[in-house]
Formats: sequence, structure tokens, C-alpha cells
Amino acid sequence: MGQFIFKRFWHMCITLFVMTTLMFFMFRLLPGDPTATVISPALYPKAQEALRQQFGLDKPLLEQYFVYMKNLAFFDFGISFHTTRPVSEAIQGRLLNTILLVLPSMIAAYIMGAFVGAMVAWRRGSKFETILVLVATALQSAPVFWLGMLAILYFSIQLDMFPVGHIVSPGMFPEANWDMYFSTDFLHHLALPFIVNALYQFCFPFLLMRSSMLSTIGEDYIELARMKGLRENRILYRHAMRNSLLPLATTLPMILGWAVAGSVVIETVFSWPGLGLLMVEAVGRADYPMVQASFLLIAVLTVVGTFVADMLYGLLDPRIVYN
Amino acid sequence: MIKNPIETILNIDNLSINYKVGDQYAKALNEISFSISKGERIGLVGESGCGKSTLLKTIMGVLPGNADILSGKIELNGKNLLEIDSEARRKTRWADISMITQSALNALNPVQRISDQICEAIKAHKNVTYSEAMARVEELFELVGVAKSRAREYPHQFSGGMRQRAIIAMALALSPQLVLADEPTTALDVIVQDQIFTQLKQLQKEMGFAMILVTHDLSLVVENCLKTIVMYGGQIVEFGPTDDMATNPLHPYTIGLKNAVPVLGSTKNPISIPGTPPNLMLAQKGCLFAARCPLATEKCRNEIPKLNLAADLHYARCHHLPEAQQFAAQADNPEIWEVN
Repeated sequence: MGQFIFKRFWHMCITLFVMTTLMFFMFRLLPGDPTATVISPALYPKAQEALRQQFGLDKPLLEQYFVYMKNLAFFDFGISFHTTRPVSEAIQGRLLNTILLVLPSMIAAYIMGAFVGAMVAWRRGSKFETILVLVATALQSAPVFWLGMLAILYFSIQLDMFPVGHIVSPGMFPEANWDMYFSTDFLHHLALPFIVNALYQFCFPFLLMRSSMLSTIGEDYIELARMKGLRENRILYRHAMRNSLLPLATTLPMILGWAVAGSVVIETVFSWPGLGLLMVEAVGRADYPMVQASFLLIAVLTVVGTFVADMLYGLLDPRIVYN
Repeated sequence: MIKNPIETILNIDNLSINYKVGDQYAKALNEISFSISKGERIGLVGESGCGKSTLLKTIMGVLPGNADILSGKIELNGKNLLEIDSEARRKTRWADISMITQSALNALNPVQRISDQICEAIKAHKNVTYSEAMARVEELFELVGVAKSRAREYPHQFSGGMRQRAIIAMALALSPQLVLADEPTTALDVIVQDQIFTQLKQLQKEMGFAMILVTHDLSLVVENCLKTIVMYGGQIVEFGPTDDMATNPLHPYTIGLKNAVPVLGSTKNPISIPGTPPNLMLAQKGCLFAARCPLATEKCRNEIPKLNLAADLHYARCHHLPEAQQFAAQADNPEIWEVN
């Protein structure tokens, strides 16, 4: 077990190293000159040169890479070209906003998906099942930004139930004000993107749980449980659902990384000042340090999530042995 | 019909079951009647799809949703199980009638400890604490010959023979009156098979439960059961004392089955019965075995035979019972089976 964790940890390090390197060069291959946004052409050439030196952009690409990697080893993500403040500072606040949106909606979606999926499979062949499977498949195929825009159009504009976007009403400063997260104003802003995201994320666990349940229900041990004279609820929860949850539980940590990455879309639609929106802005400004740091964060989340999923499987299924 | 009212535990009378397949019906069980007494062992033989499993599921009350009980009674100690409510039915399962299933690997939940799986069966019927149930599990493990220290392991940690023993332990957990054994040793090698049967018989002697042994291995029945039921196409085609049936089989199908068993040391090759089991979706016109039967005549194809008493306690569903003995003598000739 210890050996397995050690080996997996090494693999994670290698994966992240390759990711970082790829990202470093990839963003520099993109068209657009970072100096154009940060360093105004109106400045004196000397001042321009001084700024270039300050950001290290005058050095050869390879040397920039080594400096970047060295700093990264000390958790120094550099200084944003745009705000000229440390990247980590900007990301912290934004990440919290993203987590506050993504995590609760994902958890709600998974709990709902597991339960509804299980119930629907347990009473196979109901009309409700047909409709729900159809709706879930359609929702899953529909782009989430389209869903978001429809929701804004109907609930925010037509019914005026929710604000059209942003995290709080104008006048409060998200990064500075902790009280903001405990205000009803915040919850009011959170509601619509939460619902849209939860609804969208619901489809995958729902469909997975349903098919997992359907194959579990056909197993001999379910029939034996019935023959043993167990009560239906016990068969459902302890045998059918418990065993069907295995594939679902292990996708959750992995999906979490993707969900943070996917928050780009939902945050853009709802102008939610999270990591996703930050990434969009940073890419537009060719703000290399910011872009690299936020992409690295997502890579870390995904890689760690996959690792956690592997560990979780061993915990939930006694048949899995690590060596 | 064949019934001893004093010590009968289970009496099945005229049981017929249909499976709904699309908008058609398959006659899975057709007028099944038999009974089993206290401490008795009955063998139930027939090929795949003859209705053996359906019969067991009906007795256990776990028929799938597309099954339809058309007629009949299943009486446990005189109480018809098909008429009681579902909670009362649940309580009879395992406590009165338990089952040793065919595939011990699939029948155990792979992610739960074996002890927990037996405990939950006990706790579903008895108001006992976990440690009391656990003590019973350890007792049962000793009874079936598995070290009790292994009770808390998972199914995948057990060998095939141990799993089957665990299943037997589970089946005996509540000291039932009747145990249904559905091909309990099919997946095991003959040595383990023999050990398990010896043990089962020993346990039966001690605990006094009755047993229905379902198998397609005739030799197992001959060795272990006093009475035998032969099923074909959802019907009982022959019923009687095993000894009598082994030496003097009456139904051509039983004669065929007997010939299909290889005999160690014999130069004779086993003979299979050509053809396939009947299509149960079609309405029955005559004898179900007629299409594969060398003795079949026009009468067999048009008139449904009844289960007739042929010898002492020995019944067979055939129009040609008087010719059985003569036919049995020639049945080891493969050519005689080439019908059509």
C-alpha cells in the first residue's frame, strides 16, 4: 500500500512536470504580444526596455523557462502582467468563488443523481423513467452556456427572480469583504448559477447510477437477498445501491477537477468572478503568469482527483488490493 | 395426489405458471403436483429450461415480474403460500424454506463480509443482537467445516468449495424445515462434491430438514435421494422411488437420460437424445416429448398423456407404458433414437 502510494505520487509529479512544461511553451506559441497590453507603445523606448527587463521578457525563451520552473519549485507563481501583483493573491480569492459555486452544485448533483437514478432503476419501466432519461440525455448534450442563457432570460429578465449575474450587488468588493459570503445577497446571486450547474451536472451521475443499478439488480446476490427474506428497503440500500455506487463514487473526485475547468463557461455566462472567468480574462491579455498558474491549478486538481479516486476504490471495494 | 398427510411439509398441487414474453406466453410450469415429507430427500432432474429453476423460484416466492401463476397451491404445513400477504410471505422465506444456490460466487455479495451476509439473514427474522447473530455464524461455520476465524472474510478470499460451504451455512442459519439445493456442487470437482454431499446428509440427519436436490446429474440423485422427479418441458414426466426408477425407468425421456450418462469402465459410449426441448410458447397438442421419442405414435402427437400410476408409487406421463421395459432394453442402440 505504502509502495503504491509512493509510486503513484511519482507518476503525479511527472505528469505535472510535463503539463507545466507544455503549458509554458504552448502559451508562448499563441499569437499576441504580452508587452502590447502591459507596456504601452506610447512609453519611451527606454521605459519599455526597463519594463521588459523587469518581467524577464528580454531573456531567451529557455532561460525564461528555467527561471519559471525554479520559482515554481518555491511556490512562486510570478507577478501578473496585468495587475503587477502576485498571481497567487489573485487566484486565491477567485478560486474560493469557484469552489463556492462548483462544489455545492456538484455534491447536490451527485446525491440527487445517485438517488433518482437508483429509484428509477429499482422501479424499472415507469413512465417517469422514460421521461427522465430522455430529459437527462438532452440536458447533457445541450451546451451549459445555452442552458445558462435560457435561465437568465427566463428567471432573471422575464420573471426578475434572480440577478442577471455577478457574485454580489454593485458596491461590495468580493476580494476584500469576507462578510459578503454570509450575506443573503450572495446567496441570491449564487442561486441561479448553482441551479443551472447542478442541473447540468446531475445528468452524468443519474445516467451512470441508473445503468449501474440495472446491472446490479440482475445479480444473483440480489435474488438471494430477497430469498433470505430481507425487507425490500434493505435490499435496495444495502445491496443494490451500495454496490452500484462504486463506479459513481470513484468518478466524483475526477469530475471535480473537470468541473473547475468547466466553470469557465458557467462563470462567463453569469459573470461570476471565479477562476474560470479569471482564465478567460488572462488568456485575452496574454497574461502568461496568470494563465499558467490557473491552468496548473486545474491540472493539479485533476491529477490529485484521479489519485483520490484510485484510493477510494480500494476503500470501497475489498477486492481491490494495491501492490 | 402423492401425499402423506401426517408428516408432509410442503405440498404442491396443480401448479401452473406462464412467463409473459412480449405479447406471447411461455408455459414454464404445467400442472406440477408433488409433496415432500419431513427429513425426506427428493431429486429433481431435467435438462436446462425444463422449469426446475422456475419451480424453485416459485417455492421461494421470488418469481420475476413477467411470471404469472395461473393455478395451484403451494402449501407449507397446510398453509397456502400463494394466498398469504407479502409480509407473512417474507417471514417464511429462509426461516422455513431456504436455498443453497447454484453459483456460490455470484450469490454472495462481493463487497460484504460473509459473516455480515449471514447475520443479516438471521436478523431479518429474529430479534437478536449482532453478537448473538455472530455467535450463530461461528457455530454454523464449524458445522459446515470452515474455520470460524475466517467468517469475517470476503467471498473472493474463499475457495470454491469454501464458498459453497458458506452458502450451506447461510441456508441452515435459521434451521429451516426445507432446503432447496439448486445444483449445489455443479461448479466443484468431484472430490469436493462428494465431501459436501456427505456433510449435507450428515447435517440433514442431525437437523432433520427436508431437501429437494435439483441437478442434471443423475448419478448424484441415485446416490443421494430416495425419490426422484423427472421434469420435461415444464411438466413432471416421471415420479417415483429412485431405486425403482434407476433399474426400471418408465418414461422414454428418463430412459434416454439414463443412457446419456457415461459409465466409468464401460465400453459403451453415452448416447445423447437427438433434438431440442419443446418450444413452450406453442400450445400443447400432445405429448411434449413426442418429437424426440422413438415410441411416438399418432396418439402421442394428438392426445396429452396423464401422469399414470405404473408401478408401486411410480408414476409416468406416457401413452406407451407397457412397452417401456422392452424399449429400455434396446435404448443403448443409438440408431433407435434417430427419429425422423
